[in-house]
Amino acid sequence: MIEVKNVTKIFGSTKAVDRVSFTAPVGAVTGFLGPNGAGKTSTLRMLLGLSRPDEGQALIDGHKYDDLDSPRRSVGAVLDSMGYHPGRSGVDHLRIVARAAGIQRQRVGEVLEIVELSSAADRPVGGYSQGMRQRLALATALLGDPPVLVLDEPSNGLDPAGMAWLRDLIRGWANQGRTVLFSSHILNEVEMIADHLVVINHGKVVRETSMRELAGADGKVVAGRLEELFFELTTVNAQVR
Amino acid sequence: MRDLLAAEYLKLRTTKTTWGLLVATVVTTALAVVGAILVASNSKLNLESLHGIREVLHVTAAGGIFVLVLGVIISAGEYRQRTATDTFLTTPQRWKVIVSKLVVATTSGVVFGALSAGTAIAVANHLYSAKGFTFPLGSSQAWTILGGAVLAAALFGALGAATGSLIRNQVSAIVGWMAWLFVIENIVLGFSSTFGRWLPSALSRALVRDPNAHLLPQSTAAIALVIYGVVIMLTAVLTERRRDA
Repeated sequence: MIEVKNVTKIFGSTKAVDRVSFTAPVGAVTGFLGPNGAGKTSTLRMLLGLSRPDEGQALIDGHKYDDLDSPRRSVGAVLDSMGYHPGRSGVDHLRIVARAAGIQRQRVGEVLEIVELSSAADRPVGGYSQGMRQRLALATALLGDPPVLVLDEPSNGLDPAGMAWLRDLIRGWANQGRTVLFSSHILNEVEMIADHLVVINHGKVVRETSMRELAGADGKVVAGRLEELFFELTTVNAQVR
Repeated sequence: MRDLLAAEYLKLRTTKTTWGLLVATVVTTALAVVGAILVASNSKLNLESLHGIREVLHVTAAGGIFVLVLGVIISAGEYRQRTATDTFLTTPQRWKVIVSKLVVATTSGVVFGALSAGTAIAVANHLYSAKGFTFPLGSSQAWTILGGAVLAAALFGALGAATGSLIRNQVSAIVGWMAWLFVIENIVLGFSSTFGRWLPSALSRALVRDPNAHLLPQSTAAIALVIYGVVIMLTAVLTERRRDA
């Protein structure tokens, strides 16, 4: 489970994240939705110990990221700020992370299979397409077979087939009982896979709800309902809930 | 920490830059030794004398700059290639990352230095006989200089890694060091040799017993360079505590 409690991050004179609180429950896909610049990435970076909150704390299964015994086995993360040495092969990148995290080498082959990147694994990452890099990032996140996954705009660079594949993957993880938190500004994507929804705007959580609440009597989210809600919540004068 | 070190060595082995810098170090050393022998024999110096040995072998540290560059790349390269995120996700305790990089750069410096020393011996041995001399392989002076060269390479690797952790911009760190070693230090040395000999370039020359300047004893120079490395590393660790990745 992921618990974000009153987290605030100030850059200079701007509050990028302003007392953000929400929970991402176990065995569910939580969509972290907001326009560009709403504070999604800043919040996720604090959750992952990459930047320090000015106030509040973000916990993963009750622990701060820095205090996790074996971070790679506890949390898998995909962030936009991840890069690769262009001259290094995909498999070497994975071997390095596995080595540092004390994960068995055979797992590298397994995650390459999962993300369907085995055939390109020995090539330098410099020649990878954006979609292949994204798959490599997902493979890295899966190395430790973690119960919690944090994905920042994971569909970036994926083609429609890749996006469908990623949706199935994410759904599958949640069905296995993992906690999945993913950020997105693509409403369709969130509508299709999220169980739980957190909407953020101007650094503040403006709505935390379940997709079930948004759904109609037939259990399906009425087309356009999420879009309506999103614009209602993220227009400039929107009230904080 | 053992896993982290193994991963850092793996990073080093899986980039071409490492091997390029190793070749550059060895080639520079070879050329420097050839040059030193030609200059010394042109000035009719007895190559077998203590002064001759010092003239020839002190240039073994000539490739040290490449080890320094390697050290910077080991640390700051993570920001240039944006691999730092993955590194810190695996090891959120950043001081561990900084220390392991320092260890890796230092031991790599030992390897680079040892290969430089080997190259120097091979080249000198060959050219000495070509000029009718015998290279004094049994001379403790020669080995003191070669050992100093290995130590200088190790400590330059450490300095590079520590600086690269402190100044995350790889290009700035490398250019800064070049400017310091080749320009600023010479200016300082011009003003005051008493003060100037405590600076990194002069210390590394003291380690290889450069006969052309009034330098500190080897042991003092080694300790001073270690202190530089430790101070920069501690500054990096303290700075990192307040910095976002």
